[in-house]
Amino acid sequence: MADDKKIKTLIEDINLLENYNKELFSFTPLPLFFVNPMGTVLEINPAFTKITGYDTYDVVGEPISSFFDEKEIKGIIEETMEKDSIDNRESVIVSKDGEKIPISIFARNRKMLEEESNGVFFSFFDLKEVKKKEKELKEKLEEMEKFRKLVVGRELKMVELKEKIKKLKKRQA
Amino acid sequence: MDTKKEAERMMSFKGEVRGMTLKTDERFVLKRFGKEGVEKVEKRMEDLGYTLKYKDVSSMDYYPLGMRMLSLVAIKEALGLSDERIREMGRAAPRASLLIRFFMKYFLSPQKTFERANEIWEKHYTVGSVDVAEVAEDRVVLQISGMESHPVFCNYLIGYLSSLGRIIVQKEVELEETKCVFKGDNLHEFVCKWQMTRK
Repeated sequence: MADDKKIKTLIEDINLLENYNKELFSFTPLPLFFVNPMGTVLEINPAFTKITGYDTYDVVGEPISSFFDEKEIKGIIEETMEKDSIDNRESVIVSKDGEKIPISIFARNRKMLEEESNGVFFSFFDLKEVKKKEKELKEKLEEMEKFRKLVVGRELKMVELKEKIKKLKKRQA
Repeated sequence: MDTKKEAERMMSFKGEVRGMTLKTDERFVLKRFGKEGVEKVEKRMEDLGYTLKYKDVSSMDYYPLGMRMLSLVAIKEALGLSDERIREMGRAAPRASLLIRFFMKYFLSPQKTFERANEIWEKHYTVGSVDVAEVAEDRVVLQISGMESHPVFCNYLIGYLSSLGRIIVQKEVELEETKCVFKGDNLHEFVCKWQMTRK
């Protein structure tokens, strides 16, 4: 194959791969983002935008501490680079309109040539609904506990009264 | 730009440019002006005698350098953008560009990144070069030479380099073009300065 033809084929292959990556990255309903070891955001996907309201122009090139607690996220990045991965770590992300969204983070270290880390991939689950349900469940449980106490209390009172009546009947007899 | 002659002159510029730069132009226009904006720009290109369909551009392929200049000029003219809006377009570009992803491994320290400025340039352009004339703790001086361009490209570069500088040093930067081939100099020189204390 002539060199020009080879180059043309390679460029076509790269474009196919690029489109495949782009589509996969855009398709996933899970928010994804990538930061370099300095904590600068280098990439986000549409699911990230959907949940947080930030688009590429808002966050790419910005420090990750713009929407996470600085100390906490720095710790997560360092731990991921040390252990290679982190699963299910609860945290809070601040959306563009200032809402604090509870999330569960998954992070993976990205290495170049199996040596130096050149950043961390992040993904997360939005725990807003889970936390809301958790709160509702807790409130329900508290209500039930109150009810239980009330019912048990009433029952004990009944037993006490029955005892009193029994004693009174005995005395009269 | 009044005549097709000027477009022809640009199309005769030596060298090629990666499609990703044209894709970045398209992304900015789409975001700010929608599909209608892209159509207006493509129509202006056609009026000037050249066909460019942004959606058909492949990021990795090479296109004539003149096409890149023509794209910027057509955007400026078709959408009536001021020089400041062109700088805004340049500022937005690094955040949407594939460049960021390709060169993320170099974004480990400002020094390392600036040292590789010409490598980044060469990934985009087959002509011209970037020389780091000076790099200090609070400033860097970049010189671009060896390529033909258009004045609109200077404004675009002012925005682009200031945004890239901000990303690299993670601080607000001031960027000024101190030498320009359209003002009689033999190269373009950009001075990028930032405060030592984090804002």
